[in-house]
Amino acid sequence: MKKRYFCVFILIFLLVGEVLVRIDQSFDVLNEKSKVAIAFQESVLKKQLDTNVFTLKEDQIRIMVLGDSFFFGAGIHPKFKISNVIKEKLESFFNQEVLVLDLSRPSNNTLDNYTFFRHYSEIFKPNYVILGYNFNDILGDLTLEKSQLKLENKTNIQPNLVTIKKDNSLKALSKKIYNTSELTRFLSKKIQKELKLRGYVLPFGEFYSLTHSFYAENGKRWQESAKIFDNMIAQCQKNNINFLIYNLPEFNLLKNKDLFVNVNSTINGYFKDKEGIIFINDISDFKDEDNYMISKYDGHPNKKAHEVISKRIVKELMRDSLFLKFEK
Amino acid sequence: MLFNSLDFAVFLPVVFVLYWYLLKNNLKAQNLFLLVASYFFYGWWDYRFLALIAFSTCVDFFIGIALQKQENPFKRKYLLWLSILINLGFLGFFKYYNFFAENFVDAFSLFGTKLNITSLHIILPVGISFYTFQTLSYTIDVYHKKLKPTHNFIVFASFVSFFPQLVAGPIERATHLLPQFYTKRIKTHANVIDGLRQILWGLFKKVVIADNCAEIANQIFNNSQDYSGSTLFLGAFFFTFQIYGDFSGYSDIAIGTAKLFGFDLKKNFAVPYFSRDIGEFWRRWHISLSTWFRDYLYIPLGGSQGSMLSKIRNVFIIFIVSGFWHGANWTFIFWGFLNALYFLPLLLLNKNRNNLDHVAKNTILPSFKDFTSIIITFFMTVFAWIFFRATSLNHAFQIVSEIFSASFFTYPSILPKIFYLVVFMIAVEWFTRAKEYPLAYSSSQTKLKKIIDFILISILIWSIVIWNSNKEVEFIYFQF
Repeated sequence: MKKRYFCVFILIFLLVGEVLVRIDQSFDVLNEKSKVAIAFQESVLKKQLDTNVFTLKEDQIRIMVLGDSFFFGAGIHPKFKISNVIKEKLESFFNQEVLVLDLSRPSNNTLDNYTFFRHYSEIFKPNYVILGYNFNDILGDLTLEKSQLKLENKTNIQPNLVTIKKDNSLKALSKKIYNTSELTRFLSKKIQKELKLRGYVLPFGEFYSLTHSFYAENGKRWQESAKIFDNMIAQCQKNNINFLIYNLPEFNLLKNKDLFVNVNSTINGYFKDKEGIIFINDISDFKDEDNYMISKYDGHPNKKAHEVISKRIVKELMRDSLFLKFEK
Repeated sequence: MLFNSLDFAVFLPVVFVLYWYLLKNNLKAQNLFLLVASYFFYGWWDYRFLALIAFSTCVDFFIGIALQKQENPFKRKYLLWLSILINLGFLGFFKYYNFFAENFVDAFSLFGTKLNITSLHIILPVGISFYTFQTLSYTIDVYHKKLKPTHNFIVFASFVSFFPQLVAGPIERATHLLPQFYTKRIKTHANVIDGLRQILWGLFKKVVIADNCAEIANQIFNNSQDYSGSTLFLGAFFFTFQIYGDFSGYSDIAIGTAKLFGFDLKKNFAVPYFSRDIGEFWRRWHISLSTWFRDYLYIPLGGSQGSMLSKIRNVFIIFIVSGFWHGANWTFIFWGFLNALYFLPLLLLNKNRNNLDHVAKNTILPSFKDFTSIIITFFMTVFAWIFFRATSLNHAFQIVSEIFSASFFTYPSILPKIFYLVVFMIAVEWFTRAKEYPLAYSSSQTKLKKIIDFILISILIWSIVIWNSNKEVEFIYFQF
């Protein structure tokens, strides 16, 4: 009898959990999504470029900003995001209008950034390109040829269809449960998040791959990323564009630097050798490590972090000789 | 360590296992162990605070014994006042020095005199307001011969520092808690289950309701100049549930934890937001503090006996002192004053002892009259909480004036869905209002009730996992 009640309790417990997780996903009870909500507004400058009404002037300071949701400013008011803060600081210094074209978009990867760069650098002709690099920019499609295809044909690339073999193994079954049960997925992510905060990573899943195999120097993904960067750097050099790359940390994991040893080693190894670019990969700017995140489980930078990043970028730009011609 | 922290989640089971399985039926060893565990728990915040609680314990222990031996009424009174002055002296210094210093300087500057009094960087020892009142109740009861003083220092020290209720109450009376340290404690299945269930309910109120309401209330109060009257009112509404969830949640965890060790602590909250008048509210909110003030301040002053003027005086004294107990700020004093204004008409019309029983006692829904009374009392309380939460009187009046402006009739700019969880909590508390707490354990339940019970427990556990605010937010009453 007691065993029966126990089984009934476990069943009820799991069912209730499944229902509540689904309710949370449908209704976002704690408004978590709105905390990092993306208030997307096309800038006036981008509209001008897209409709060919933009006029290039000789003494303009033109800065192109590329990146993903970190640079885009997810979770903060748009006026506090990096591109706006940089614009304000430079305008107050130079006492003239500074054009900042913000092409950062949530979930942009390196290929997306390159695609934007290629298209808009031809018409905007920036003096500076500032790229906010995030370690997950290595995800997604990085096939360089597809970028060119996108630019030429402006069509969506269809995924290759693969025949799926029927698999009855335990691994397949657990995968099926994982894919069907929202509760299982929720718990798995939650456990991984908690472990991450304490500096541990389970040996599976996206984060593990990102911090281990994906950044192996001879790994396919990194090689594809490096190829894209080679192209970007070459084009910047050809067109006399200064290129600044800011490697953004996960702001809720500043205390767990060890998780990113492989990532930083590969990125540093690549960019430090490159001439003519400004590369920033420095978390010492972020004192009091708990104060720069949106929330404990969200690595996006908050308003304070955006301010610190912007200050550092402006400081590096000011050292550049190209800026001297704009000083009055 | 916070009750909703990993530290406590490790501390509690370790202490529980050692207490019941290693020390078994050895009462002396259990009391000593509780003392050590309590000092460890308290020292976790800041080990420097231990000296203060130890000193306070020693003073009252020896004064208690001296009071028993002393027959001379003047000397007895002297000993009592010594205890009061030492305890309140420490409380006054740590909590109120800067408040008085700053106000003296401001007062003298009105007359053109500039005083040079430096503010001190004083860290307020956690729980000082609570354990001070607890030990004071001991010496006062010994003085009045309601209680024989204990000659067992370990027992007395354990009573003062008992970790479940040390930092934020309930403020236990020596007559109730002290004898329990002399009685053999028996671990029963029912006690353990009941304790765990009450802890679960307390955690839900704290982690899901209070901490999430806090985020919204803080956002609104900290940026009050940017919000309309309707949104500010929402802020006050969410603060109302933040403070309730926080404090009553803590009390439930404290009482549940005490049950795990075989102790019975007094109820501290009895669904106060279902009160039909302010008199009932104050019989249901922070019961241990309000009864302390009633027994040790209000009644000695004459209570509700005597002339009209003395009744009015006593009401204002008790509520203002109660407000001041909460913190060194004019906002708390004003909050107390406001509650006195609310209470006074009831006292003068002899209606302060109405509504002694649960609302809608044998019915599911309240009558229209009761419902209206509940709503009016609730909104009066919400209004008063604005002053409690605001950072200054100016801030409070700015918020109040915006609420009572045309912007109250605009659509609020924030509509948090946590509101539905608050409604859920209210519904659960409504349907279980006659119980000690909603999940109160009963070994005899029908099958259907058992299933409903399972579902409710599952909802609470999953709510804590899914909807915790992801931040370790301190209990509000720790700052008092």
